[in-house]
Amino acid sequence: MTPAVTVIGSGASGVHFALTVLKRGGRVRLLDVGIQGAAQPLPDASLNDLKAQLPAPADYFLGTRFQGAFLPGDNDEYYGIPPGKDYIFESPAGFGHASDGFAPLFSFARGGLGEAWTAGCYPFTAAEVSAFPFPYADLAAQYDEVAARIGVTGVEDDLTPFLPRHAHLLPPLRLDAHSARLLADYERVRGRLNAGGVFVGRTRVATLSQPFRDRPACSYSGRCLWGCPTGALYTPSRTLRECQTYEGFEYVPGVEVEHLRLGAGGRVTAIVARQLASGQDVTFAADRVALAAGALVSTRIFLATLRHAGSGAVRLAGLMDNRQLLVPFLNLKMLGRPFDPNTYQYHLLGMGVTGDGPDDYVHGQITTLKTALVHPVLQRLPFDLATATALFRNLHGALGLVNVNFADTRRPDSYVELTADARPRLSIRYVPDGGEAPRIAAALRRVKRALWALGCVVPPGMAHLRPMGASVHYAGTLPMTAGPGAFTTAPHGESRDVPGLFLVDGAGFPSLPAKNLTFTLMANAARIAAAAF
Amino acid sequence: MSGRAVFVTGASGFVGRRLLTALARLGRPVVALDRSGALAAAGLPPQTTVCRGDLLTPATYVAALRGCDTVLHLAAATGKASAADHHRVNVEGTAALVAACQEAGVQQLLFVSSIAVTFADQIGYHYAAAKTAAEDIVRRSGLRAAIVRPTMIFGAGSPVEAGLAKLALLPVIVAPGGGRVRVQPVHVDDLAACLVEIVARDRFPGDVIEIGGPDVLPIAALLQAIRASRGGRPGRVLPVPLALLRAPALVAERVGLGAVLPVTAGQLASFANESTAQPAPLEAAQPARMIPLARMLGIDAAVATPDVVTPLAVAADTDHECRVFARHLLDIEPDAYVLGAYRDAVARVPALLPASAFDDVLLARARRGGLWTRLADAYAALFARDSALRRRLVMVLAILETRAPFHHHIDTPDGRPGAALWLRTAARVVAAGLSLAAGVLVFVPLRLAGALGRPR
Repeated sequence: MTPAVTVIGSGASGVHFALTVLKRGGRVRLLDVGIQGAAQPLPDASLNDLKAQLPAPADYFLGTRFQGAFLPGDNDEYYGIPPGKDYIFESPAGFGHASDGFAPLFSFARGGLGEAWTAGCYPFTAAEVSAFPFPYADLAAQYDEVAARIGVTGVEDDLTPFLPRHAHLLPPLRLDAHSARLLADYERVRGRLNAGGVFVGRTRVATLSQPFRDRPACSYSGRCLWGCPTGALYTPSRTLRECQTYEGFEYVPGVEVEHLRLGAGGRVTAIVARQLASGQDVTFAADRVALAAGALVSTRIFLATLRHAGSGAVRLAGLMDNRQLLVPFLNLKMLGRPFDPNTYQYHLLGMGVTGDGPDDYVHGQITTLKTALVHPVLQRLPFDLATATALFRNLHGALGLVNVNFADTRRPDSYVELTADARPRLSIRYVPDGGEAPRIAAALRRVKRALWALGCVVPPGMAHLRPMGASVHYAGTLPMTAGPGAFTTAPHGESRDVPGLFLVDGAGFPSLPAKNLTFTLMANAARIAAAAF
Repeated sequence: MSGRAVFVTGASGFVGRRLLTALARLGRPVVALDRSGALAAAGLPPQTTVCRGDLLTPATYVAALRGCDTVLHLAAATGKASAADHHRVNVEGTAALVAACQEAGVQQLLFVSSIAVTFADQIGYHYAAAKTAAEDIVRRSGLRAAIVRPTMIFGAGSPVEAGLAKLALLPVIVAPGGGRVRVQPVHVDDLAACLVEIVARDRFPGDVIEIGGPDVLPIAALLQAIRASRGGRPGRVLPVPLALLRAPALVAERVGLGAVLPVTAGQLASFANESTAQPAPLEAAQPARMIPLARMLGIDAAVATPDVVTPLAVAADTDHECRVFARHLLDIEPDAYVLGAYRDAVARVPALLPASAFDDVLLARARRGGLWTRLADAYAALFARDSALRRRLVMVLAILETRAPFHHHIDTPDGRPGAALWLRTAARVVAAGLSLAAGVLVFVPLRLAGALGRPR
């Protein structure tokens, strides 16, 4: 088969790019490392049923090596990755990186990092993509298309000005008691909060409230964090499986792409990859390649390509990521109340906090934290563990968390390059914007005030600024621009340095608003596929 | 079970040679793969033939494999081999053998791995990483496979025993990481008997089977015992931070000076991880039938190895601790599953080991139960927040919250919200304050006494 295009990577960008080409009658080959996890056990069981029915529940919840147990003295974040999702962050042998000011996560899983996402679908506004060099309508049309593929639930409310409407919006998910209470309290103080630039509403999520295509509605089993057992929560591997139903699609897992081979005029002629089972190099002839390995790994492949073609040292500036601030809170009206574990676990509510310009808008996801393990929280309380446990069971139903996202911009001092090793590794350096600290402090004050108006308190000292890299919203190393320039990408996704190479993931984003970018990754990849193939 | 031939890789090695002798009991033909020609045909048991070949070159032995239905795969790079050699022999070699087995129609594969695969801390330990990868290859081979993970293997000619003897005979006993982690040496003949039992009783496909000897002891005590067995007087133990030895070792290995070091950076992992085995479901692995450590070393057990306990005693100790902690935390009696999971955690998670003498004291007092546990927990909550005691309490909580019905005791409120609930809560906070005050009165003097060097 001669594919029209070879896609590298099966994450959110790669699969939606591939599906668009396939729908237009094109042939696609997709190269992937493609690490897979185990199937979820007992798909009909609720979270608490698992604790009763699994023969070895600690293996499932904590891992066979207890790697999911959070012990005093561990410096990890509050809630880690459940052991069943560890595979998503595994790397092939020999993959390494060096980083400074940045704690990157990589994924070589089938479906990529999107296999571990929390399903937030936040379309960017026209103002937020003003630096993107194409008409907003082109992107809006693809939001409609992607929503029709993955099923997005939500509703028009006070957040709509920040989350533009798109077609195919399904009714929202059922609220848990705590989220319902917060929303009711918001209605009471709405005027006051809105006057202060704070808006609360339903989030948009790719989790189904009703059957959609071949997927069932959410069963409210409470297992979201541990891995949706039914597929009601969309992940990209589902679209990969859809691609596999097309005759013109060839999926090649077990290969790690090293670099592209270039021919006359610097055009792509082939892809050089390592076959993981044998350790041998394999070559795939290709004159059009869509790089969708995730912004950082795509950048690595791009840089390795230039190095093999004989370029000198290249540094790609402009790496971006959303800074995230975690603000835990206690809802005083929920103290002492039981909670229902059989509810949707990720964010059902969002909070928009406006500023002077689009870059000053911050977006919070409100999660009411019910079925995550509690031993990581208990050990942080200033009591003996018996007392901490006894107190916490009366607070648990009142606990919540706002995850506040901040926008980022491309700056020259945040960059990616290759080390000089024989097998070059990525070297990443990130320097936060100098004005970041006062902006974060101001946002924290406003979020705390808004929570107080909703009857919630933020325990002193508990707000936690996550390290850069933690949000995994990487972008900006090969930005799309309207005019020419070295190490830039044309509006239709093609690299200006390597003809035939299309950058279809976050590497091409010229700016990064304060929102999860995954929905826009999918829409932009579909847009490039529609424009170029 | 068929009487077809058994194929052995690594037959000329320390375990391989003893295994050939033990296999004679099966009464089946044995084919021994020999790369170097070190296996002299004259010294071999009857029914054993030698196949000259190289694990990495299946063409040299695939013909011999065709007559066999079972392969015992022992060949491995060990010790100071480079990372590349570990990968080449242990991973690629295993992959080559598996492919050859598939081609030759071999049905069963017994892979001898290592307890090091279970180590949580494998920094620089290429051997453990390679064995882990090799286990994966075996598991996915589609063959009826069994994986055996022995602990450190002793007996005449044991390379690990010789390596430890070098450390044990220094003027002072250098104990990286304090030497508190526990080991469970197994005699080579006991291991060989276990391997033969798996083949003889057709225990394929099997789960992973861990095999350790009948005695468990801290690695520093083992070094003392080895010292005694070589005529040395008890030596002073010098605890050295692991990182202090590991960092220079890693650097030396990076620049090619690994061969001159007494131990590799990776081998230091034996001082960072418990290397004890889960009980093995084999007759030959019953502690009463196995060679005790004192006999392995040829010393008087009672005098030379006072810290030796049986694996059963270790388990009973840990079970007791789990019960005490579960009562203290939630006022519940843990079930057999929780006890087993906690035993497993204590054996597998190095962070649960006491890191200082006071850590030991706190844990020992907390184990007594009742008020002692309450005071130790209260004291640790403010003054020893990262102590082994708190880590173990949190581990018990973590296990309990995954298991019905215990998780209800962690996530269900005590009653309806109201004055009664808040009064009870206030009373708890007051009680916690009192426990803390009493804990300070008890443990501050103990800590000071420890710091001043008084014997516990």
